[in-house]
Amino acid sequence: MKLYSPQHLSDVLTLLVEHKEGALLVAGGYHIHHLDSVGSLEGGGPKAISILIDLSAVRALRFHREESGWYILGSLMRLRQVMALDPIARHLPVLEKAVRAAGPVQMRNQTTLGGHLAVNRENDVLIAGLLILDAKIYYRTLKQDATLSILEFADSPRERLIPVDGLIHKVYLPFSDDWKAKSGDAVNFYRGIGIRGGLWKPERAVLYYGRREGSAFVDNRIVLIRKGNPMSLVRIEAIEQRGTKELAKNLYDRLVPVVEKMVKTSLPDDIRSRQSGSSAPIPCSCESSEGAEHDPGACSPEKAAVQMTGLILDGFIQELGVR
Amino acid sequence: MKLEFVLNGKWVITDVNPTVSVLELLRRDQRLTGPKCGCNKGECGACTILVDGRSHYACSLFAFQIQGRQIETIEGLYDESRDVLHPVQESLIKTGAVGCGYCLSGVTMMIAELLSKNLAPEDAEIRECLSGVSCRCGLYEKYIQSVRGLRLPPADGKGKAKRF
Repeated sequence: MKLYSPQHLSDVLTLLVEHKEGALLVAGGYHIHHLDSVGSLEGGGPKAISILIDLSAVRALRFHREESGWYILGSLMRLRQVMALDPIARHLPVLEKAVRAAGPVQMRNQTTLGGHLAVNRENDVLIAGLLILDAKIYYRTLKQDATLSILEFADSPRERLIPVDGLIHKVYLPFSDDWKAKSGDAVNFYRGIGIRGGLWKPERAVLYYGRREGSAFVDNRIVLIRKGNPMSLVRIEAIEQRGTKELAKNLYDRLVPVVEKMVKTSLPDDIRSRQSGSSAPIPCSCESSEGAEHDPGACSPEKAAVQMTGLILDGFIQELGVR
Repeated sequence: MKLEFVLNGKWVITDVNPTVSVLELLRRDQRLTGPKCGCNKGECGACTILVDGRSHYACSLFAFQIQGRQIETIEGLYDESRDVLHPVQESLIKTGAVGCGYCLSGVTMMIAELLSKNLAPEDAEIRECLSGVSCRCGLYEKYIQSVRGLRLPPADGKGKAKRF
């Protein structure tokens, strides 16, 4: 296996055209373990790598700047560096929190923004943070450049979006005066919410509010994350602070359908094939796990959806300080 | 490839396969068995080393990535000339924060990194630092106590500090 350490982006893109799937880009290097082990790189097999491209010397990928209402981060910025940027901490604290929640210190010291996105795990909290911010991803190949919305990026397998000879170049974050004026912050990064006996076990929920306007929280965004599902972004323009009951009902009405939809799309294939249509009742989790005892109270996925929504709402309402 | 790097204060020049992991390089070629191989996929933290003063998983780094860099392992914390342990090691022993020991070099390196940047870390910062290492003996509270025993009182201020 040959190692290349190009200094110019054009050289990297040329190598990608020449070697396609046989080339492995190494930015921070943290994700090499996704290829099973370092040893397997040399062993051939379905993902045989013939060359390594070390990106660390490509300065064109390591930058950050404000430009025309956007804050632009080069893909070679390490997560640690992204967190430490003053404009991010001051105006986009949700991203700072998302990066912090994405992994421990060692991982943030090593991982680059582009490398992290390239691996693109569907339940990734950093991508959820970018989703909340309506970020954009810009990629390049030798022949073309293109921009993807983070929603497209999060919802589709990476290989369908970015050509094999392409590379994530930079990430655009909203940085208009309107965004800067927001005190936008994530109020919660849940991890590992589980509902015992329920069919649907969400892993994380990211809750965000844009700003306070009088008695209301305005421009609220909630991302629900579950492995195997596309991320769901729920936007709620305004949450009136008065009346906890009305507030909870308002949020329930909006969130429960989203959660139910996620429950349905996460069904195992054999169960889904037995469904006649979307209106059919969702089977209990005990149908898909051998030996599990049926308990209508605990197994009902509708109930699971409601419980899940309740968990999110409780935390959200508490942290907004209205209770 | 010819690899040159500083290992615990001494220059090392060696021929390696660039795709060997740094953990393998340290344990097999350099005979430094302080960094442990736990999960071998960048999660457990038992292999934590410092690269230019920042913690990294040695199992998740290619050898070529440390070209020209300064590497510090648990072996480098011990002052051989004076036969003195690092203050973090002393504090861990004093607190009794020692279980099976498998993750201990990772924990020690994480704390050393934290204190090299901040001599008065808050409890939340200590917890965040320790979140990078899985301790199956569950000694996190002991580790936190040992760092509390080392930190400066808040009145002395926070922020950038001298190398610990």
